[in-house]
Amino acid sequence: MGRILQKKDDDESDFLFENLDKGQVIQEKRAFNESPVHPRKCSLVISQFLYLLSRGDSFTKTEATDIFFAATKLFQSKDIPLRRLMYLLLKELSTISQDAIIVISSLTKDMSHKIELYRANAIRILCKITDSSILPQIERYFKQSIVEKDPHVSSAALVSSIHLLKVCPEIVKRWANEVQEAISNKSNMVQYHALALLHRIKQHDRLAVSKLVSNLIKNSLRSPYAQSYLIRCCVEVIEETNTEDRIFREYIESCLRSKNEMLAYEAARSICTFKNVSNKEINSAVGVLQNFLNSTKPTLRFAAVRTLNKLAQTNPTAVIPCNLDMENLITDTNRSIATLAITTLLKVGNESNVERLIKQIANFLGDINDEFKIVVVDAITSLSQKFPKKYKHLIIFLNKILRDEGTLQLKQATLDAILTVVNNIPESKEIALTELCDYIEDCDFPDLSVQILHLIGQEGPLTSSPAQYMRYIYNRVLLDGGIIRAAAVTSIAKFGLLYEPMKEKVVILLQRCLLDEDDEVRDRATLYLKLFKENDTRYLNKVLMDDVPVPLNNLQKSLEAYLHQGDFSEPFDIASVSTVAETYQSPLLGDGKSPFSTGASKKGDSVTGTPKASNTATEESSGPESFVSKLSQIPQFSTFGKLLKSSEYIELTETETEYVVNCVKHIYREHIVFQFNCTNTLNEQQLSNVSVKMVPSDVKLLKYECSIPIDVLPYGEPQQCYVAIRYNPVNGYPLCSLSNNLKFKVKEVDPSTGELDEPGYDDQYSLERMEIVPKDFLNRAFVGNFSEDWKKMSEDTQLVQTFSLVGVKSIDEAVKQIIKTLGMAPAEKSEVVAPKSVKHILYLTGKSLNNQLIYVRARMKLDQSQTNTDVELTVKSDDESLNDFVISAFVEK
Amino acid sequence: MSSFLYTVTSFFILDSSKGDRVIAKYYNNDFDTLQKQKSFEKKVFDKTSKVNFGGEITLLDNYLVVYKSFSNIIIYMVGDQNQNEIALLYVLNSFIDTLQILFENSQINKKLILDGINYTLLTLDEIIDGGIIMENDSVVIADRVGIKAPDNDDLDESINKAVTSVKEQLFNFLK
Repeated sequence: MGRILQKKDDDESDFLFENLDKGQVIQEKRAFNESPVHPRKCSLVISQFLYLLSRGDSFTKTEATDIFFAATKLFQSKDIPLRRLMYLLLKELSTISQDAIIVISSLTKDMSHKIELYRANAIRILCKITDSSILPQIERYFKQSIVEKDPHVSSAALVSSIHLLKVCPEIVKRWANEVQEAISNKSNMVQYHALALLHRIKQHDRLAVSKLVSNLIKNSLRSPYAQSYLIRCCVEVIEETNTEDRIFREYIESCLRSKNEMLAYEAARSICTFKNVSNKEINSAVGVLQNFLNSTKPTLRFAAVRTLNKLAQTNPTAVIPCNLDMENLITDTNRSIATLAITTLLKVGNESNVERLIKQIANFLGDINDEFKIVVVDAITSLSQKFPKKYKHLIIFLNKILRDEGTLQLKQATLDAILTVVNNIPESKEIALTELCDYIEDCDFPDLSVQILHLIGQEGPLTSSPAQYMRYIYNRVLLDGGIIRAAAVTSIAKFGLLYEPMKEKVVILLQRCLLDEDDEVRDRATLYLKLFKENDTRYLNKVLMDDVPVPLNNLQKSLEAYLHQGDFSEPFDIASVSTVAETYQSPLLGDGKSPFSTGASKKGDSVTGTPKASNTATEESSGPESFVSKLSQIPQFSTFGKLLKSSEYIELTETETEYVVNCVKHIYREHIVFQFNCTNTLNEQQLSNVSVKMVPSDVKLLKYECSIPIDVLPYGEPQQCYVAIRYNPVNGYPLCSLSNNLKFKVKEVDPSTGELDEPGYDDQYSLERMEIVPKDFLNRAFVGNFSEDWKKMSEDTQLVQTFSLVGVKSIDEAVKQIIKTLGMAPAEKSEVVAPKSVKHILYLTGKSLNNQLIYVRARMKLDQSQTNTDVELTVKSDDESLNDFVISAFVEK
Repeated sequence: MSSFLYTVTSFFILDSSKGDRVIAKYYNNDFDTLQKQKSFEKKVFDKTSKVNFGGEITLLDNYLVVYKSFSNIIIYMVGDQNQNEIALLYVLNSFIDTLQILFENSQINKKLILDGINYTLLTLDEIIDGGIIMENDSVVIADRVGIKAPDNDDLDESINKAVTSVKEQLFNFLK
């Protein structure tokens, strides 16, 4: 077989074909026209074409047609290897080339050729180029070939017919008798192909299929492929007809004993999908899989463990016999197998063996890399929900990972997992704290130390013996860097606040920190000390215990703006800071992961609300607080008074359209300014005189005031246009919806020269509708103690409303939705929902634009169908109409 | 249910140094542009080429990927996620076994695959037709690919030459 197209034996890097150029090869097709034909030369050219095709080069219709027709010249060659290559080239090009039917006569001639290879390949091309108009004329060749003894020809004809079934099903169905005959062909593959075709021909006739299948079961097919296919047919029959006939199940079970691994596996995995399966059946199936688990072939182990993993969901007890074998797979060199083994084991794990399992996993921890350890950590975390009583082992296990060598990413994931366990299982708090205290003694990651100190400060004082933690914390003050010392000082102060008996000691410790070299440490110590001395518990509470209620970036910007404006007659009000982050991110919600996600390590998250499209403009427009100064510079708005509230960004287009527009609503006492941030994403256009035409659904509520268009909006530079409206607050807030149209003049730009095509034309672009909603007129507010305040508020003015959040399937989702709809601040950490809970109470506080406090209590519960959430909303404030207004965010009045 | 028949959704050989495509063949329209194909191949390569990953099989984006590494290439056989893993492995084995026969047990590497591209692609064509397994016996496949036949080309030429030279001699003789 030395006819590999072998050329010089150059060095490794110099491959014959790698730098092949399409144009050059197309030239070489002239070799096909030479007479006599040079098989060697032509074979090389064909190989080159085939290589280009498989490499991914594309041929135009003309090119393909040219090559196709040139190649048809080769029908005259008698060189069999060349003919074989020619058939492949014609087959590959037949779908790109035009008029490929031209070769039908040559191909049909080949159909009567004595060489089988010609017949087999000719029919494979024929099936690609015929359609229902031609097929009847060449139908006999198909019928003939199907019943051929030669397996090459018969298989080719049968497989081609399977393809043709999609094109002209009616004709192919007429060949059923021939196909039936082919099933008894000696060749295994022909048997398989014939069965597949016959089944497909009868597919829509259930009775016929079931008859065919039961006949073939008795027929004892030899081909493992045919038998595997038949198993699928049996499963289909069982599922569709719910037949009582045992013959189908018995057949599948009998295949379990096959020596062919593919077939035995097909039988086993089919049995695993049965809905009502007998113990005997499932045990023998699992037995086969168990053997595979110990195979030397990775694919067999993978197949088995993957099937068991699925089975564990529906029938965990059936999987248990394999537990030992799967434990061995935890260290499998193939990571997919190891992962499946672990997750399967954890699925079937029960209270009694979970401990041993954890130990088992702990043993091999040293052998696996960090990325995979994170998978393990996640799996362990989910165990904590299943077996809360095993928290001790889980915490110790997680702590071991924390202490071992590892990347920050792994450690953060592990710490997050520990925090999840602590949050879910209160009993685990003490052991977790003790372990973590030990850990920070030699923790190399300041980020983690800070988070842990925060946790100890938060939870430590509430444990049975808070004093034990103080030594660990104070050690940090003595031994660590500035940022950790600052966190430690805060942590110490929390003990003083939350655990009265330690207050004096805390004061002494704080005093020692007054001379710290780090400004932050000194400042914190000084502040806490002063508050302790004044015994201002309320303020201490606020400083120490409340999470910063706004995205930190926004807070920073607001503070900077406050300092910049130079007017300090009014104190800075944190409620004026925007919570622009669209999806409200509680520091404790943060995807259920780290309660510290607003901290330095994940700073990026806190600005996720910034729209993608205006990323280029992030600098100027990232938070409404920067709007204050910007808006006040616009003379038309100067008489509107103080800006009371700015909304989050509302996208009015998809982010990938020609023009990208989003809007921010600025609320004043009697006006609303709509700020439209527009981006032109077409580099061949320049827009001018860009404005938005707004039409309110209720014209009586608001009056048009003015509009400020964008003079010129070039490609890629976001700019703002404004529309201002007036409303009368005496008549209530103007809740309505607005339709929006972007109007502008387009001038085409030549992107290469930048030349403008004057004069341009007017055009418009419709934008999404926008609503004015109650949230626009509500601000977040923060109160020290919600429940006390709630009790103090009279029940006479309260308003209670029940409604259902349709399609909200989890409490967590409901909580997020309510917070988002009202734009108020959650109190008492009530935004934290225990996993899988079916009811919950959420407390929110907010205030109206004229600073009236509003308290909201939302009791919610999943309804019986588990698809909706029922909510009872109670609103308390001093103003009944305000209560109404808040409720109207959910219920149409 | 019918997916058993369409065993293979795609096949490709990637260079094991950077993951560049050597050759590829897709049997359905899951990846209908070259760009989609290549980004899938890159994903597969990134996952399977890691030394510490362990070999032969994995699941990626709803596809079963069975593969085998050689000195400078990796050969992949990809199937639907519900496919019978072992069936897919058998196809891959048939392909490799056939190449071993055709290349007379030479070490499979990029050079061999490319220099013998006609054999490589014909083998594939004889094993898989539109995703359906045509044949799995490597001896049969090798026979269908590498038809032994007299080298007509050279034979014709030499006869022609002989005839010509005879003619010439005859002509000379007659002169």
